[in-house]
Amino acid sequence: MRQMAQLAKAVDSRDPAVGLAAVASLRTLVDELEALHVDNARRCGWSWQAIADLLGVTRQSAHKKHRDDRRRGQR
Amino acid sequence: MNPIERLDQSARQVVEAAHHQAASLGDQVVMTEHLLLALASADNDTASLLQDAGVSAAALRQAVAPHSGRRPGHETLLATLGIDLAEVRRQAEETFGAEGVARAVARVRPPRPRRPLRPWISCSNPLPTPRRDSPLTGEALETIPRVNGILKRATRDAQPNPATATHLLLALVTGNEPAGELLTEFGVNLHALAASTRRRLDDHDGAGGRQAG
Repeated sequence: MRQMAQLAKAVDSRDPAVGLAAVASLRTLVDELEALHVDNARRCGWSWQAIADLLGVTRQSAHKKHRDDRRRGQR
Repeated sequence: MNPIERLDQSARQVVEAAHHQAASLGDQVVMTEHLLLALASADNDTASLLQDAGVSAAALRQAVAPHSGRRPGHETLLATLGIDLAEVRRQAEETFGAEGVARAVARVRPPRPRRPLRPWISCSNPLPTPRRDSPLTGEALETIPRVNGILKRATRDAQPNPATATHLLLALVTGNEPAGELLTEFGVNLHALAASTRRRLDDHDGAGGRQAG
């Protein structure tokens, strides 16, 4: 906990650039955690509908976002 | 086709090490300087070639480090929101294992840059672009096009064999890259280094040919 306070003090928390970057960082973290838990649910045999219901999104959008396509890394 | 698939073991290790170099310097993407650092620190010919040319991994790192990681990392940014990222990472790894975390993170597509990235020289005046490394694993997610260009040229030079770490060094030295400029700042003659790197490759080809025959 003390370490966290030190980290936070290293930057000016009222600086909009810091605040906005922090929110962007949090969004990426949420995306990564979502991917982690969707992977887990799929491994446990959950349907896309069940996953989407708990995420509060439609089945289509959950599937579109998380289906495992291997095309990442190609530009 | 993904150029990574056309690299041999030594070259893959160098690319992986370049990712680690970027992460350890707090940089968001893998740049040619990180690739050079990885080549200089690698446990193979490329380190000795660079050493003979008069640059060590330690000296390179000192030259690159001041320009790196100027922007606050995910730990710092999230701490300003009251989020203990170290704890989030620990929980995630404990529950799903490091491999599971890495697999999930690899699936998340990072936002595309709105503007081209500036070379690291200009990092003293950072652009307000989102960080492109992973909060959960702390690793750089992407390589800049220049690095991929080096990988492509190296695999082309090495055809039909997979490219080695030495091929990567040759492509970097001959490619008019920012990392090449860094080498000239160390007083390295790029032409001489390219020549000695080619000689080393020819030696290996000869040895390989004899072994095969």
